Amino acid sequence: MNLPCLANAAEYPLQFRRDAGGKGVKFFARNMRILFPLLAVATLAQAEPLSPELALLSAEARGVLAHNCTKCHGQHKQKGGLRLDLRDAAMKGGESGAAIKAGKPDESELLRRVMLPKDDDEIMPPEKGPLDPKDAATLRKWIAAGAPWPEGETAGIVFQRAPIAPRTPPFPAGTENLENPVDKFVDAYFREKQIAWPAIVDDRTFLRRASLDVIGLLPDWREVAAFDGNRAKAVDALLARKQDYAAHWLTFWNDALRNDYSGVGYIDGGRSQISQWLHRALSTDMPYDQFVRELVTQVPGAEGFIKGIKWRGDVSAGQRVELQAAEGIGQVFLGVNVKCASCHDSFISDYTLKDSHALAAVFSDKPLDMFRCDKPTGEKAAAAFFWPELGSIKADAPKAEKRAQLAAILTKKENGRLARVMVNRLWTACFGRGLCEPVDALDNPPWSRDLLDWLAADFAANGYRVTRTLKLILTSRAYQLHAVEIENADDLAKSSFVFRGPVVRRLSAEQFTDALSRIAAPLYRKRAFIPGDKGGAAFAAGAQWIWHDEADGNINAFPQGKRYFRAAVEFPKGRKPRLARVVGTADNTLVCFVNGRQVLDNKDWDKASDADATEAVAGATGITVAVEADNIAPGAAGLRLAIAVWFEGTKTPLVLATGPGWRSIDKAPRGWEALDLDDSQWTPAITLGPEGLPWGGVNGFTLNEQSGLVRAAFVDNDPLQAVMGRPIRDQINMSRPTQATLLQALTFTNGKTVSTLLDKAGAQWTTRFPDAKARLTAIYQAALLREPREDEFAFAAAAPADLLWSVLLLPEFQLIR
Amino acid sequence: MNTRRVFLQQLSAASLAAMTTAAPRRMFAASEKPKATADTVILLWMAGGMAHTETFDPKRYTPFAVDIETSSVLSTFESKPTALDGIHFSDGLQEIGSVMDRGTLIRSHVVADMGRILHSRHQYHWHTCYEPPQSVAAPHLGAWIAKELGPKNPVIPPFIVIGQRFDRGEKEELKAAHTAGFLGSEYGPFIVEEPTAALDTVRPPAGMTPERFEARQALYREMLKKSGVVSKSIDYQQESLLRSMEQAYALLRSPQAAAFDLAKEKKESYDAYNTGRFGLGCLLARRLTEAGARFIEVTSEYIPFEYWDTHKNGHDTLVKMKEQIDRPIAQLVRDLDERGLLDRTMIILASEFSRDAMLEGAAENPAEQGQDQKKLPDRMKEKQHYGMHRHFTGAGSVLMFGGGVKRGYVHGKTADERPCKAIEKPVTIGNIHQTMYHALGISAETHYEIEGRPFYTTPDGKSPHVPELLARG
Repeated sequence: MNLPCLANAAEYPLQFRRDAGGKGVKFFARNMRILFPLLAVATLAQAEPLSPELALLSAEARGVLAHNCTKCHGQHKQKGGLRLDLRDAAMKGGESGAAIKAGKPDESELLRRVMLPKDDDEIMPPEKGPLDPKDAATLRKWIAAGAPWPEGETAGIVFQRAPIAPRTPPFPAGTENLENPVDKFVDAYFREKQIAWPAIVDDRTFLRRASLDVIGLLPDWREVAAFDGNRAKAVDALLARKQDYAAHWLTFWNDALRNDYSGVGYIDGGRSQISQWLHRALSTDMPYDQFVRELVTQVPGAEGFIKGIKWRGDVSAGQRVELQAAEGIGQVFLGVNVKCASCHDSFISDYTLKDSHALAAVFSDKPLDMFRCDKPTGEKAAAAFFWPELGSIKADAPKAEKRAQLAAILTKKENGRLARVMVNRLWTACFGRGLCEPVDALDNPPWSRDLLDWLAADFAANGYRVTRTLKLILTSRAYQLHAVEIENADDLAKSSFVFRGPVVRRLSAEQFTDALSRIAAPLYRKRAFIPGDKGGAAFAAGAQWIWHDEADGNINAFPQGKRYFRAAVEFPKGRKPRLARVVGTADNTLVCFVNGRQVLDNKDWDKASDADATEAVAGATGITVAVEADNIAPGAAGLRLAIAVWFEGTKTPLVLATGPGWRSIDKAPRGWEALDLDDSQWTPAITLGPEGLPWGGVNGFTLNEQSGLVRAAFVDNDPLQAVMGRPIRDQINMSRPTQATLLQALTFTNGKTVSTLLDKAGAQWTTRFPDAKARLTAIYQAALLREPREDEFAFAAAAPADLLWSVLLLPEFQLIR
Repeated sequence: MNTRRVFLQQLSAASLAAMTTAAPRRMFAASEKPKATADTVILLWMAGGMAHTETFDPKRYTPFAVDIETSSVLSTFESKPTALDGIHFSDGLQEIGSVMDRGTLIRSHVVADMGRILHSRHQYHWHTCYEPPQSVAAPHLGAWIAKELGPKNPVIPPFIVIGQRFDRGEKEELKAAHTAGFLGSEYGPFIVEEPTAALDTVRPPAGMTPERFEARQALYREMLKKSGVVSKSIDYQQESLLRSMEQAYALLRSPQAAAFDLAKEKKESYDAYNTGRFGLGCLLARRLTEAGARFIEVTSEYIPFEYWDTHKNGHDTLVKMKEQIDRPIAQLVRDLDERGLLDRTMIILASEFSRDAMLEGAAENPAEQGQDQKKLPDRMKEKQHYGMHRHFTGAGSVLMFGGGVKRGYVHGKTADERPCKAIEKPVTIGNIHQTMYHALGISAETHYEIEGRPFYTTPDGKSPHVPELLARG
C-alpha cells in the first residue's frame, strides 16, 4: 500500500487549517472533534461501552494518529486515499488496501511503515519517522486489542497537561552520600540512563561560569588566582553582590516582562516602565510570590507589565491590552501559551477563546466582548481563571478586587505551576537547557519530573527566595560538570534530550558588552535607567547651581561662552580613598577634571552624567576639581556637580559639591585644569540656587557606591547590543539567538564603535604595561582568566588593539563553558 | 468545560507531548515552490504617505487661488503624458513616465485603516504584512527573502536597507518594522544609513591599513590554532562564530565590496542619479544589484513632517520630492534594463498610504486629534493650504518593474471625484507581497512554527498573488 505524506508533517501535534472555508467554522468543527469524543469516551453510554482500560488505550492510540498522521491523512488531505481521523475510513484503508488489521499488529501495514528504518523510502511519517518506540508500542497494543474505536469518534488530539498541584518527591534511594538535593535526583537520573557521573570543571572555569550566571560579569583575575577552592563560599560571595546581581537579572526580567527604556508604545503614554520597581525587587531579593502579586495587582511602579503596550489607533481584538495581560500571565508565570486562544480556540492546547477572554476580563471593568479571529461572537466573557480547582474569581467585583483574587490564586500554595515555571527558568539560565523545554510550555514533559517538582516545592516552601534556589543549583555537582557541546541547535529542543551537564552557552549581548567595557574601555557613559537610591541622592543633593559672576547674576542674561570653575578639598589625615564617584550637569555642556585627569563630560543638561574617579584620587591627599562649562547661547547658564570619595573603613563619603567656595574665570589660563594651578586670582562663583528653577529636575543626579561601570542593562539598546541579540521588547522574549551571525562579525570587524574603543583601550594597556610580554599576560589574565601558554607569548608583538580584538573574539572568550 | 479539563488531567498518563519549540521550525514542503522569474527585489519606499492624485494618478488640476474651495481640489499639478497611451502622470514625473512602457502601474492599492491612520503602524504593516501589535515579532519582507533564498552572492548581505537613519523621530517604531522578527537576527537588515558612506560598512575600519587588517586576521587565526579547543569542538555556536568571522573577513577584502563605493561610479552616471540621498541610494542599489544583492530597500526616509509627510505646503514640498525621485528611479530602470538585469530584478515603488486634501476619518473624540490631523479651512487662504495633507487609505499607486512583471500595464482604477477611491481591482499589501514572493519562487505555503503557531509570509498565507501583474500569470 501507499502512504505518502507531506514532508515535515510528523511529530506535529496539530492540524492547521488555513484554506478559504472560513476560519470560524473550521475552528468550531475542530473543537467539536476534540471536546466531545473525549467526553464521550468517559461518560456517554455506548451500545457496548469500552472498559476504562480500553477507552484509555483507544484515546491514546488515536492521539498518536492525530499527532503524527492526520495532517496528511485527515479531514483536509487524504494522501494515498487514506484517512485516519474517522473510524470507518481508517479501518477501510487507502488506495493500496487496509492499513489496520484489527487484532493483527504484525499484518498491519500502518505499524510496519511507522517502524521502518529512518532512511527507508517507505518510512512514515516521512522525515520524522520512525515513530517514537513508545508511540509505536501504543499502536501495537491498540491494534492487538482489536483497534477499539467508539463509533462516531475521531482521532482526538489529546494535549499534554502537566499536573498543577505541588509535589515533593522523596529523595531517591541510595543517594544518602550526596549532599545537594539536586545531585540526588540527577544521580537517580544518571543511573536510570546508565550514565556515569562526568567530571567536574576546574576552579577557573567554575568561577567564570558562576560569576557570569549570578552577576553577569567575568570574575577578576586576582580572585581567580587567589581562589581557595571553596566553591560554596564563592557562590555566597557572588549572591551577596546585590547591585551586580540586580544589574544582571534585570536583563532576564526585562526580556520576560518586556520592560525597556525605549521602544514602541511610549508615544501618548501607551506603555509604562517598571524599571525602578524591578530593580528594587531584584536587589532586595523580593520573594517571587510577592513579585507576582505586585505585578498582577499593579502596585505603584509595577503597573507596566499588566498595562501592556497600547499602539495608537485600533488593534486586533486579540491584542487588546486586557488580552495582552492574559497572554503575559499565561506565558511568564504559568508556562501556558494562551496567545493562540486569544484569537480562536487553540490548536496546540485545550485552552479556548473563552478561557483567554475570561482571564483578560480580570483586567476589565466589565465582561469582555468576545471576538473570534477579529469577528465579534456576540458573547461576553466574565472574569474567571482557567484552572477552576485553584479557586474562582468574583466576576462582578471591581477591577482591583478581581486582580487581587487572581494574584491570590496564582500565588496560593496549591498552584505548583508558579514555582515549577520559575525554577525551570532558573535552571535554564544556569544550564542553557531547561528541565522542561521550551521554558514557556510547562506542559511538556521534563527530563526529570522528580527534580523539577522537588525544586519547585522547595522554592515554595522556603519563601520563594530566588537566590536560595540559585544557590542550591550553583553548588550542586550537576552544575559543576563539564559543559556539553551541542552539534545541532535543534537537538536542544528535542524531547529526546539527555542531560549530561550544562550545555555550552554564548555570552549574552549584555555580558559581552559589559566585559568589553571592563577589559577594553567603558562603552557607555549614560544610563537610560538610574536605580533610585535615596541615600545616593542625598550625597549629591547639596550641590547648587553655580555660574561665573557676570551679568549682575541675572540668570537669564548670561553671555555666550566657556567659563572655568575650580574647587579643592583635603582628605582627613591618614585616610586612604577606596572609591570616588562624580556626577554633574551643566547648561549647556561640561568637561570635568579631577586632580588633572579628565573624568567626566556631559552634553544633556537634563540628564546628569556620572563616572568613576577612583584612579584620579588613588594615592592623593585631596581632590582638586576643575570644570569647563560652555553656555552655547546667551541666556540661562549653570553648573551643578558633586564628587564623593569613600575611604577605607568608612561608609559615609566626603562630598565636594558646587556651591560657596568655588572659584571661576571667563578666560582659561594655560593649565587651567592642572592640579597645581594657582587659582587665587579667580573670582568666587555665584550660587544660583539648589535643584529646581530654572532647570527643574535633572535625571540621574545621584551618587552611590555602585561600581563605576555603566552596565549594559541600564542603557538604551544600541546597535552593538541589538546585533548581539538584545531584543526589541515589544513582545515577551524568553529565548535569545545563540548562533553567531555575519552582521555580528561585521560589527566587530569593521564597526566604528568597536574599533574606536579598542584603539583607545590598546593605548591604555600600553601605558599601563609598557612591556609587551607583561601586557600580553595581563590581557590574558583579564579576558581569559589564565596566563598565556609558552607558545602564546609570540602574540606579544602584535598591536595591543589587535591583540584585544583577537582575544575577545576567541571562542574561549565568547563561549561559557 | 470543567469536566473536560478534569478528564484530561486524569488522562495525563496517556496524553502525548505537544512539543512546541522556542525556535522557528520550517513547516512546509520544498516541492511546492513556484518557478522563479526574479532573483532580486528593490523596494523604493516613499516614506510618509505619497498622495496618488499628486503623483501617478492625477485628476482634474486646480491652480492655486485664494478662496478656492478646498474640497474641490483633487490635484495641484498638471497632468503629463507618459510612454503609455492615455496614461498620465502628475507634472514632475516625466522621467518615470518615459519608462512606464517597461513596467506596471497599480492604481488601486488599498491598505487597512486601523482606526487612526498613523505612519509607524502603517509602515510596520506594509513591511511585515502584519498589523501591529503582534504577539510574535513579525519579520520584514526582506528578512523573509533572506531566510528563504539566502544571499545571491555570498559576500553581499541578502537584506540591505539604504537611507533610513534610526536616530530620529519615531525611531523605535521604525526599528520594530526593520527586524527579522522571530526568524532571528541572522536574517536582519544590513543598514546603510548614508549611501555616500556605504563603503565604510564593508571595508576595514577607518584608519586601519590593509597591512594591519591582514596582520590582525592572521593573528586571530594563529590564536585559534594555538587555543587547541577549536579543532576538537563540534559546538554549533562555536562553528557559527568561526564561520561568520571568516565570512566577514571575506566580504571586507572582497573586490566586490567596491560595489558599495559610489566614488567608483563614472561622473556622468553619478550626476544622473545625484538628486540627494535618495537618488544616490538608487545608484547604490543598482551597483549592489549588479554585484548580486538579494533584497534592497531604498527609502526616501521617514522623519515626521518631513519629505512625503506633508501636513502643510503639500504642493511646494512635492515639487521637491519629485525632483528627488524622478530622475534616479527612471535611470535605475533604464540602467538595469540595458544591462539585462531588469528581467530578473523586481523593482517596487510604494508608500504606506496616500493623501487627500480633506479631513477624512478624523477621530471621533477631538481630544484624540493628533498633530498630524490638522483641519484645513474650507477655503484655501494661503499657499501652505494647497496640496494633499490628510492621510488616506482608500487608494494608492504602486509601480512595479522587472522580474516577471508585465511591461506597459495599468491595473485598477480610482474614481475621478473626491476622495478618488479605488473602484476597480483593489490590491492589498498581502497581494503585493505574495506577487513578489511568487515571482521569487517562494511558495505561498511558506510558514514556520513559532510558539506553536504557524506564521506565514502573509497572514495565514491567505492573500493570493495577482496573476494579472505578471507576464506569465
